[in-house]
Amino acid sequence: MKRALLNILKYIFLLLIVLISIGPILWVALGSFKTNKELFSGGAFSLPSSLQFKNYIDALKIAPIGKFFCNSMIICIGNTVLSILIVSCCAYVVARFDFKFKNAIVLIISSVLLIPSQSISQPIFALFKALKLFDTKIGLILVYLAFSIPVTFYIMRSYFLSIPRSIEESAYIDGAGFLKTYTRIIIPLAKPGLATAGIVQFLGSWNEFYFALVLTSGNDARTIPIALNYYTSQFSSNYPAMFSAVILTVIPTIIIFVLAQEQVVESLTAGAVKG
Amino acid sequence: MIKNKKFWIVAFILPTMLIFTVIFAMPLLVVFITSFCKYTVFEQPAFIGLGNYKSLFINNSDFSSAMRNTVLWILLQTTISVAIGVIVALILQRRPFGWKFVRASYMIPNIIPTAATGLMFILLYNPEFGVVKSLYEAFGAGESVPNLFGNSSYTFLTVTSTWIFYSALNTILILSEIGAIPKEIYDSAKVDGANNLQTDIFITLPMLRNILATCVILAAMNMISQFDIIYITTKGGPGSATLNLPIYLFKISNLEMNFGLANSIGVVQIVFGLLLVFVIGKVFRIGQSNE
Repeated sequence: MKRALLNILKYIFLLLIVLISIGPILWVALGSFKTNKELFSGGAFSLPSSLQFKNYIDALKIAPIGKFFCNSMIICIGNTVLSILIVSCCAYVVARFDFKFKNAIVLIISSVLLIPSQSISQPIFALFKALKLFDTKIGLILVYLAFSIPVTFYIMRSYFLSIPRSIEESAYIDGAGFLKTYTRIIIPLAKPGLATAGIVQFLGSWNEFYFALVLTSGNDARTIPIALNYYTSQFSSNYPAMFSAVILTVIPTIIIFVLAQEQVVESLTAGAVKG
Repeated sequence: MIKNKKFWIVAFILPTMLIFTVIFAMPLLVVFITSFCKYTVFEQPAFIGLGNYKSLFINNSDFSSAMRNTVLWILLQTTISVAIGVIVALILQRRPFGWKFVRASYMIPNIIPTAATGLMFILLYNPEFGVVKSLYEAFGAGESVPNLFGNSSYTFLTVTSTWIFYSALNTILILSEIGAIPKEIYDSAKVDGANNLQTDIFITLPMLRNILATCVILAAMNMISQFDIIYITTKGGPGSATLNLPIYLFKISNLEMNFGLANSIGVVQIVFGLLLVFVIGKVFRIGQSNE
């Protein structure tokens, strides 16, 4: 009897968890098809009368979401590719060789995790103004790259450590050079690690808000999360468009999650356990 | 046997270190130095000693609200939110019916942009068409629907509700750690006649000490830099009801353009974070083995 009751409580709890997790998004998705009139007079739990896309068209008119979407894509792909390209190299030599200052480098890299991004934003802002990187996609890519160092480093280092040394040793005996061994043998073996690191960095930079806000001023470099800011400020009267704007922003991340759920779970776990 | 080994080591490390130095280390140094300077959009940095810190800690109601709210959010997040994550993990680890679906659903709020979460709650809590309105009407109180984001007496709780339940990161961290506990330990517990709840409390939880410490540190650091949702929903208001350190820093730096003062807030944020990591590490005796 007590056991059955506990079981029921357990499922009620899980049901609540599911409800608060996907309920709001489903509700917003439904709302994105409602007309202004249906929204205000129909009650929150009513269904839209038809699948009309007017709100989506309005949303695209209010903020240049299409443009921001492209900016986000360029910045996220740029950051992700550069991060795994550059930081993997560093992680590889730290994982494989002994040299002076090795521990210092690991320590330095870990320190990035302990610094809240807002605290150093003013000097970065000043630096970017001076270097003409303010309000550019390259500027945002560089900042995201710097903050991506520790997570990519830890994921890749532990991956490289799991590859047996004997593989490289036999390559060297066969006369392959350092660079060739790394690019032709190690990198192909490390693909799952690269994918894990790539997913973390892509999702992270897709969602990043603070630097995108303070390091941009025009439409050339603003990213999708900043577009949402438009709806709460100047144009807050068009609520139906806000619904569609939310949906347009979350769809890419949900697609990635649905396609690669296990990898996303693994990435977030690997990305978090660093300190 | 590797040709030019030294050269390659340096060449492989240099790009990372260069980016680190220019975009991270140098700004960090500048933050510390200029936090002791009078430095605004009109003036070059000029040394004024502890002036900025004095104006933060002496008679500054905005700063003390920001500090108080940050501390409160850290306390709530490191206890309630982590606890929810742990409970979900303990339930899911026995793989009840539909556990994969629950895990996937629970992850979604952690995957989507935080700015979108903020906007979603603005809609959800809207007094004219949001879910709140229908709930109030259902209980016959349709005339007095509150504006949850617009009242200084409860907006703090409203904002808290947009993140405190979403603890999926903790859940997946703990799930992966539970997976690594040797199964034999549970066998002997079963022989001794321990039920599920007893096993969870007396065997599983103590084994999770290190990962719990990680979760608590992550939760605390997350709250020290919590910005996006507050900015989208309330911008720290009404009044200073939801002001925290990052929002206050943003206002001083980007609206008042008082860079010296902003950087002293940055230093407070950094030092506070380091202190928390140190204290939490001590409390959980992080890194030490279990007895």
